[in-house]
Amino acid sequence: MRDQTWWYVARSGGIVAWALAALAVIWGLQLSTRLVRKPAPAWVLDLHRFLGGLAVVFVGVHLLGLALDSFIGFGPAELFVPFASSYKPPEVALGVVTMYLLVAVEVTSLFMKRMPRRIWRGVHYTSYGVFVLGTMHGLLAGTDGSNVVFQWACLIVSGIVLYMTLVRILAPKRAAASRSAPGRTGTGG
Amino acid sequence: MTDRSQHLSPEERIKRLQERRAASSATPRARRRHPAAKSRALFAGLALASFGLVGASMAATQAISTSTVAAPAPVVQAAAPGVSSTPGPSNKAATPAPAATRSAPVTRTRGS
Repeated sequence: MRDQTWWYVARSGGIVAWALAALAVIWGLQLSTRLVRKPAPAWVLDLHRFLGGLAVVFVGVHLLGLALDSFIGFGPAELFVPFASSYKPPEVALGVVTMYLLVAVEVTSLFMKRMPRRIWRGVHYTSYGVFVLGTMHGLLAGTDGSNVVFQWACLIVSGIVLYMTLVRILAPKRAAASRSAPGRTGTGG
Repeated sequence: MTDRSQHLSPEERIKRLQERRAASSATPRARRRHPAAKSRALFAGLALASFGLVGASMAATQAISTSTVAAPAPVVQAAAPGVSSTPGPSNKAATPAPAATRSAPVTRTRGS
């Protein structure tokens, strides 16, 4: 069992990283949609940033576990180059691309004030890709893809993200419609 | 107090106002730096706890499945009385061979 410790570290780290990234996306969507009125925007923004950073940390744990696991035999090439792995190349490549997108989102957010808003926003939109590709990577590449609990978690979280995204897309139209209607106040987005 | 401040020059009044503002806003600004400081700690703790729990449950599941496979039922030997049983090869085939299955990463069947 001891020789499998790093394997468990890799899998557990991957699952927690996915959960944190999903929470960061949900928190970000809450920030833009204000779907739930109660939490203060400053609190949501602070936690959104923290969850994103924590997701990167756990992606690091996931990579460390894979690198130190003697059985799977992942080297730097398999960890950082898409399709370099002999084990499920497309599915593992999804994870590699997800990692790069997550790092790009984090780095651009750290230097947000020093870069054009348009570029930051463009990179930040790829966080949807982080969520979708990360979920696919977890379901297809991982051993836990067949785990019913993980599958249900993916389904529920994906439903929440989809719903909030739809609200975000439709919210400006709703606000504009309510603004045009007399006697009603729009919430904006 | 109001009389005293009225006697001050505008520069002095501005200076005092700035000093007072700096003194009063020092603590709230430090607090405002991380509005979700407590929630950050809570989420970090939850993440660590779930990391440990998920890993431990994986190890436990693996240990249970390994122990189930490692203890084959002795039905094969008792099935045909009178017939000489050959426990050696059949039992060896039933027991898992971790070293052999772990040698090939692509065809491995690492459990949950």
